Amino acid sequence: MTRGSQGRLWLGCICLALLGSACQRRLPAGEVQVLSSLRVRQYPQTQARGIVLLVHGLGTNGKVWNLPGLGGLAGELWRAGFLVYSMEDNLPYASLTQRARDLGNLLTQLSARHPGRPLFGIGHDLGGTALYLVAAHKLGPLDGIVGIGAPLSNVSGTQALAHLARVLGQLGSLPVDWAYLRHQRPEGFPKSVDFVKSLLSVGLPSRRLAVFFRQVSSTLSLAAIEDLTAGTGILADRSLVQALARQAPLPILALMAPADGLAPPWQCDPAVLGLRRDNIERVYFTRANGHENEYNHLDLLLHPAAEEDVFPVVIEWLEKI
Amino acid sequence: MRRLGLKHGLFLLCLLAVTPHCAHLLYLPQERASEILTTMTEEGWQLALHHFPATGSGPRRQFPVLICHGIMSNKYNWDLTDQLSLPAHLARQGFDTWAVELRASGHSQKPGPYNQLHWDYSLDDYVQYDLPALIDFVRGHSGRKQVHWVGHSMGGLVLFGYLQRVRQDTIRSAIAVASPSYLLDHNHNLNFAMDMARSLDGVFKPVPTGTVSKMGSFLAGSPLLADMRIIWNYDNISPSTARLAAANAVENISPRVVAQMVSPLAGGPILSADGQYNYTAGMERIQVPFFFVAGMLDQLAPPAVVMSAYQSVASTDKRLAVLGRANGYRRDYGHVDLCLGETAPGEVFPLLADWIIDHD
Repeated sequence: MTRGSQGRLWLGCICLALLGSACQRRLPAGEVQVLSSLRVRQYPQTQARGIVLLVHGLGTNGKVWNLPGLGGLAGELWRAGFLVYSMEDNLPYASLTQRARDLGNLLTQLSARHPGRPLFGIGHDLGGTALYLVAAHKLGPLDGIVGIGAPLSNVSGTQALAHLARVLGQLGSLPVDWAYLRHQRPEGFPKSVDFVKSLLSVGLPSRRLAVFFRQVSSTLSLAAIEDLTAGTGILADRSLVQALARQAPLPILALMAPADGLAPPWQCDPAVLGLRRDNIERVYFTRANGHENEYNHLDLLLHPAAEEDVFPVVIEWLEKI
Repeated sequence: MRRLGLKHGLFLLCLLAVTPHCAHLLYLPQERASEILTTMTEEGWQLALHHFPATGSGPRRQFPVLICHGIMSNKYNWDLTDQLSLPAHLARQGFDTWAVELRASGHSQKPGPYNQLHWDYSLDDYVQYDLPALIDFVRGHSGRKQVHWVGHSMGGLVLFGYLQRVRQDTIRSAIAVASPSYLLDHNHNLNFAMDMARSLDGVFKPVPTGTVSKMGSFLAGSPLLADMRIIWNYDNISPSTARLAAANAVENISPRVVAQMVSPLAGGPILSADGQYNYTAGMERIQVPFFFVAGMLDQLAPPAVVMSAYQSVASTDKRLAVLGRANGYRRDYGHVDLCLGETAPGEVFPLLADWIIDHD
């Protein structure tokens, strides 16, 4: 093959790649509305096969589902034909109970707006926990829940999480975000261990981490951290799991990562906590399960490999349900 | 053509027969024990104890320590190199230390053409015959009524059984490193392997895990298959350690032990071979001081399972440590790298030694 024909081949490949990316449907910017006192972004869809509400977690905002310039689960769901709503409200909420009540009202309104369509909730971190609470206490209509690194119990948190609670407790109501917390070091942690990274992500590429700290990281709420550690009792022992078990068998997909320092599997896995049903599926994202990355809390949504490992699992499950 | 095929076949057979031995010779570990003593079980199995007498100028400790390997393994599980040796570490701390080997492992007696032993023993035999013989031997040798016990994986599980079914007053304190009290169906690859083991039940006698591991030891330095990460976290184990361990620390095993470990359905209890005794339910009888250690990335005994054992025991003096970055450790530990990981001598061994010193 001559150099000229090699060059033409390369040019052809590049053109094909560009054409492929141009043909991929781009997620529209969406429209922000206030529904049930919550700010919600709607990504319009004609002929939607189902409605999905995305609920972000503690210390993050709605951009966690669609990282500026880098994409995310919202786009994948929209391309798969779902009408996607994403919570944009990033104010520190008073408590999990309050957030669950707000979500229940929002889901009731969405159900009325799209009658006859299946309505799913997908929550990351405490966003997933709030959805579990909605289901457990029948606060709103749901046809299925996907909990991504979403704790069902606060049994035996990690030391990094306990340190986070201590720091927030000392600061009281002062606004704090993850970027601030990066400068904190818990007692006994070696210098090589960054405690915020160990909680959230060890392997996230630096560009994505920078986007996270700049655009996704939002104010942390002491009340929510108390829910996660000892305080309010909502997550104490197995009370939430037991409440879920008493309800009609709602399909659940629990996704988690063994290396997750903020919501480890022993807090997120329904089976470990005694809730085992045929319509509850659990997936652990780890290289030992054949996945590309050793996932941590944020990686489940923000790592580039999540597009191959995590998102298809969610979409396949929704399609199956 | 036929003669050529036969020749090639014979050559291949010879190659397969010598490969495990080649691996063993190529990756030859050094011995550190000052002596290897033996004891006999009630039903006639000779068991090996590798003795590491207390060294160093520090204080001599009161009670001896027994260190036990996990399933399909031997004393190299805890004593592979000068650095990766818990027995040597504890001996330097002033403990009279013994790396023990259960039946058919390492230097302990194995079934063969020149004895009457068979590959049909079960977990219950470890519990009811091997542990009493090993513990009583060390008690007699040291003149102490009690011993400390450190077990990795099944090495902790057999102590659960001993404490439940034999006696508790001989154990001063216990450490179970990555020891499950039940099995969790959280790993697709592990579930597949367990289904395979169930379907092959009775085909192999013994199950040739040691032979296969020796043959594949050349390849053990890097994770060619995701399944290999079930065993250890490759970020925390050097390729040379992985090859050395694969060539020396894996043993063939009785199919009954494998059946007992893989037979529980998802989340089900571990039962005796006859199905009459429930080791998982019996955990609440345990009252000795107990330290449970789990690795954040452990697939065989994940933290949730170890946590369950910790919560089940009746001991008033108990502790749980999950070794991972989120708890301030330098690595997220897998199953075997809790013993043989690069950071184990600096992070795990001192943690275990401190507990034993506090309870001596």
